[in-house]
Amino acid sequence: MSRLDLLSEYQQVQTAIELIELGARVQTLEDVTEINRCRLVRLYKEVRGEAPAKGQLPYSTDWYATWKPNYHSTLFLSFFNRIKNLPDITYSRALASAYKLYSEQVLMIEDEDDGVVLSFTRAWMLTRFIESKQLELCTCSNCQLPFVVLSYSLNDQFVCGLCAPPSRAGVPLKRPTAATPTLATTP
Amino acid sequence: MKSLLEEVQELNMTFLMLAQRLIADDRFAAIAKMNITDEQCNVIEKLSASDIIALSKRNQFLFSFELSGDEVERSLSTGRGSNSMTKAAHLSIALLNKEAV
Repeated sequence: MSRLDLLSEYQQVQTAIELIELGARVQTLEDVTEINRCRLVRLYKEVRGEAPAKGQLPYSTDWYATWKPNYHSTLFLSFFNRIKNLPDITYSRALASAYKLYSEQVLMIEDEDDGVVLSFTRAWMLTRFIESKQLELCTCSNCQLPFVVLSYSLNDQFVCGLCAPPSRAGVPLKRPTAATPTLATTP
Repeated sequence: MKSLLEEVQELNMTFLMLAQRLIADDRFAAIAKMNITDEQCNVIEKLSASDIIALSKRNQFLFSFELSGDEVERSLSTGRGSNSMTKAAHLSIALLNKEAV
């Protein structure tokens, strides 16, 4: 890490705090800020009151192609793309604002079968996968909107998961109710 | 009882004041939420109270309805696999892909 001037460091710490509150892990913070790892770990402990999680980050691009994660990812990425090129915006600022916009909208709907599916770490990984061209956007031939797809997949006449949901998509598993006889009671 | 004309004027005023608060809270998020350009954001940010009153005093809306008939239908229709989140997501994605003018 190069030595940061105080003002820039102050701004980066502010953003880092916001990102930690949104659920960012230390690996993400290392990527999007210039603060060194030791300080980030200390900051994380102070904000969260616990040591940062160790272990691997989610690395699968396939996850983003499955039905529910796909429209959540596309929603987040649409917010991110809308703001990422604005003047004076930084990568970390764009991530924080886009993730807040995404979770705000999801929580507003109060759909009991559909919460905040995309974690902050996954959202950040998504922007990286797009950057490294492992994932890309493809326009739905029905609604004409861009959706996240795996790169190099055959997307001739691509139809998005919202225009053509797979069968049983969004149908929740039947919850056992008191009225349902259980196996033990049926003769 | 307020006249319809007064209500239009009040809505314009509320819109501009809310826009300023959104911009003060998170400028970048506000631009996405209102689908405005960076330039428009600067203009709205700098409006004084008297500017807002002057702009609001008219029988037209200062903001426009952005949805096409298809989009309204898509987000209100019910059917297989369309829980409320899928419809909300579809509409949000559509709104975010509209060009701000």
